[in-house]
Amino acid sequence: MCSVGDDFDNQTEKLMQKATLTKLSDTCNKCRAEKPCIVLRGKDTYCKNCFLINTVHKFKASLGKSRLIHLNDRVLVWYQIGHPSVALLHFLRTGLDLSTPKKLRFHPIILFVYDQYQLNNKEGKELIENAKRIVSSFGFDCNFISFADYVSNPENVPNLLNSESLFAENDIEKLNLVIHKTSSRTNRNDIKSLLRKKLLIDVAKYWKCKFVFTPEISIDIASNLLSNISLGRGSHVSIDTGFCDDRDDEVRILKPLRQFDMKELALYNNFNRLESLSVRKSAVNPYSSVQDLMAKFVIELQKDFPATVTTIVKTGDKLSLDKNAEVKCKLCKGPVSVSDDLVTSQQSTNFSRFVSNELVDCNKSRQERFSTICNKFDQTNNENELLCYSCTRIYGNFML
Amino acid sequence: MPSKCSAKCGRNAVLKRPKTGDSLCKECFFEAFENEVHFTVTKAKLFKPNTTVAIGASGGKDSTVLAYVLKLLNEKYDYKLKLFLLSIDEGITGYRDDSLDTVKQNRDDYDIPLKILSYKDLYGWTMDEIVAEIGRKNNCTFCGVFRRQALDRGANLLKVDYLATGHNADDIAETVLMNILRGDVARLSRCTSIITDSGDGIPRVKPLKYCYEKEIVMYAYFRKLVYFSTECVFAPNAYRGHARILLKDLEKIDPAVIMNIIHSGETMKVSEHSKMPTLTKCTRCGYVSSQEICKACVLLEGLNKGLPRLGIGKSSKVKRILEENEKLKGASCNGEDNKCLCSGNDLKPSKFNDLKI
Amino acid sequence: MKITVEFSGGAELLFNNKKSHDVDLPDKDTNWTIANLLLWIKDNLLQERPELFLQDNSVRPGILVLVNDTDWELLGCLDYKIEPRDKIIFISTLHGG
Repeated sequence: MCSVGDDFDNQTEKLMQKATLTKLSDTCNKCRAEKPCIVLRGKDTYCKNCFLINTVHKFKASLGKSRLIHLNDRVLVWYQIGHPSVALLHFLRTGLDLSTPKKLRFHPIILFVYDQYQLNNKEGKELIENAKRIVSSFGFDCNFISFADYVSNPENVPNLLNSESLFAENDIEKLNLVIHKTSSRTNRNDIKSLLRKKLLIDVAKYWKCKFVFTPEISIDIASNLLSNISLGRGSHVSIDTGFCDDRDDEVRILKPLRQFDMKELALYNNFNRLESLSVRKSAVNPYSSVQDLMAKFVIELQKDFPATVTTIVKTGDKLSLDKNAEVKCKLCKGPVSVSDDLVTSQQSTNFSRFVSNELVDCNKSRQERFSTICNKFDQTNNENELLCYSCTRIYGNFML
Repeated sequence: MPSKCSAKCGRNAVLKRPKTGDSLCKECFFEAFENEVHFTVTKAKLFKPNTTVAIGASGGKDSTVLAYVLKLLNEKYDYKLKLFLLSIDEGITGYRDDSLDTVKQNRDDYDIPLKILSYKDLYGWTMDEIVAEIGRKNNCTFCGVFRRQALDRGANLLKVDYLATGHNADDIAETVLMNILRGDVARLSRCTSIITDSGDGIPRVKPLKYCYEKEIVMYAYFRKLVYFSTECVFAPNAYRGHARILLKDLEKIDPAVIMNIIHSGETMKVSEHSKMPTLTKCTRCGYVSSQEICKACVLLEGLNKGLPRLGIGKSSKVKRILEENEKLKGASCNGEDNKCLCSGNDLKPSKFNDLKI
Repeated sequence: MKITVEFSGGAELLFNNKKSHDVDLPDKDTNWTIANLLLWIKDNLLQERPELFLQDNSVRPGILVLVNDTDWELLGCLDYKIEPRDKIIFISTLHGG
């Protein structure tokens, strides 16, 4: 049966508008005086001054609105390759240097996590040198840690920070000691992402930081949201992609750049003559993992429907955690959902798996066959209450 | 060397089921598939005994398999249900004619009574006539709105206790993705429910909710069930197409994604601060709606008054135009020869308002 | 016609790591536009992996273009007519980890 138009609502149709060529204004949207030099979101024009001021203001507003960070708090800043991280450093430095009451009054500590396994020795050294140089140009020290070494030995954070060797030939083997070699790329990505978060929290705790800043921007939020839904992490959307992830009792992870798009930050950097960190990108097949496919999907849909990313982010903003969930997942620390429903997809999948592997006694009547199977199934309590749905699926890939 | 059936019956496997990755022989697959639907039906307490169930039948694979399996389970497990096939004739030449023939064959093959209701009966317009009037740009909107109401109205007319539809796991996963893409949090919170109430007291149930589309196709194939499969001639590249392609690509990477998305939909919670639309009853026809005048009445108003874009756009505009029309009503819009004074078109009789429920 | 072409944000990696290029475009009967400049760049400057810079006769999505510090979207994109001493910058937003 054709299911097109099954649920139609004229409110939401306007959000699915195709990109049309709108006439661009020949004065800045903000000051209405100057000639514009930049177009954002395909329709808003700004002059250089207004654009720069607006951008900084947007950053301050996202921090200020949350009222989370207080005087003298220490904040671990995760510095990554690309434009967003550099813009973030610039926001921080200019904010700290202000002599007005609006001055930022917390202490950022910068951390670069080395996990670029496609680079050779020379390229790796260059990357580290460039990172050091760029971060010091903002008056900060750059701290380093190797992801592979952390994963091999998570208790050893104090010795791993700023160690002499950040990468080695056997880094990938080190990872394979923890993540099973035959894991799908999707599961590998999911596990790496969990481990990275754990690393940030452990380093933050060691350096007595109450907060971590990560440089995710709107398109990252949108594609992470869709990826997480596809992995079964729908109930954690508000902490996975929201502004604040407060799963840990001591450290909160914040995403101060989540409302920005890449063009904004790349041009912000350009006008401020800032250099960003970049590396040779290895070719990735977008169909090799759920995460890569979602990134490709969002980028392409955004081209034709410019409201895609903001709509997805807004949808995420409207979701929250289940208040009835009391148990925290052992792996990801997210709440383990408790369902009111009589039957769930988790149960159904387990039943299907069970039924596909059970021999049926054809001599018994249909009803008897079913009740035998059902009883047997009910007895096999294969739901691990200590892990959430998605972590249950990747737990087998951990070699612990 | 063919592999053996994973249920350890000794037979050779003939298919690999996407839902779990297990290889099964034909017989064990039938048993597993049917057991799973029975599991869903019983655990979710979908039906009460001694009730009547209308099965939304389009002649497509989902409704054919639904009809077959419900009939089978009804007999084997003594659900004590009275089953009907309910079919809607949209009046699309070439599409519906063939699919209705298939439904009639299902009626004969499965020995289940059939009731056909047409858009012409319910609304006074066939889809062919609507497309002739408005072109192909928004025809799916009309069809979808009318069809959704038609099934409910049909269920009401037949005075059944339940309406069962063939929505499968792929459909539901796709709907979850669609609702995220278009920011419809209200629908997002409802679309994974196995039982939904359209407000008039007749629950809509989805017994095939956890069945993979691929497995439905395999079941129909191996059971040699007859069904009609083709694209509606009017269906354009709807936005939903993007979600569909995405889902198919995801399934190729890992078929478990379909159940993962449904799980996400089932477990996500809407924040208390989000505004959700409240439901009321349409002032024209009594159907449940979030607006004062339901979508179908709005669209019909447009068709009947030669305003084809009415209902395709902002609701505030719609309200204003309807209010203006209300004022004109007293002034009698039609001339003596039954033609519209504004456009000169013949006025089509609308039996729609007679169906006050 | 002498112009300056710059690459940043990682785009320079495709051009021998050289960020700034002083370019002398040969005289032509027709005007130089960004469209044909791209083809010229492909033939004369691009060192590797053209698919990371170009797509379907334009820049790959994710590459921003500024002419004299102004967004090319305000200047007609590919149809912009290049003038002497123009500074055209291509900023990549793709070269990330």
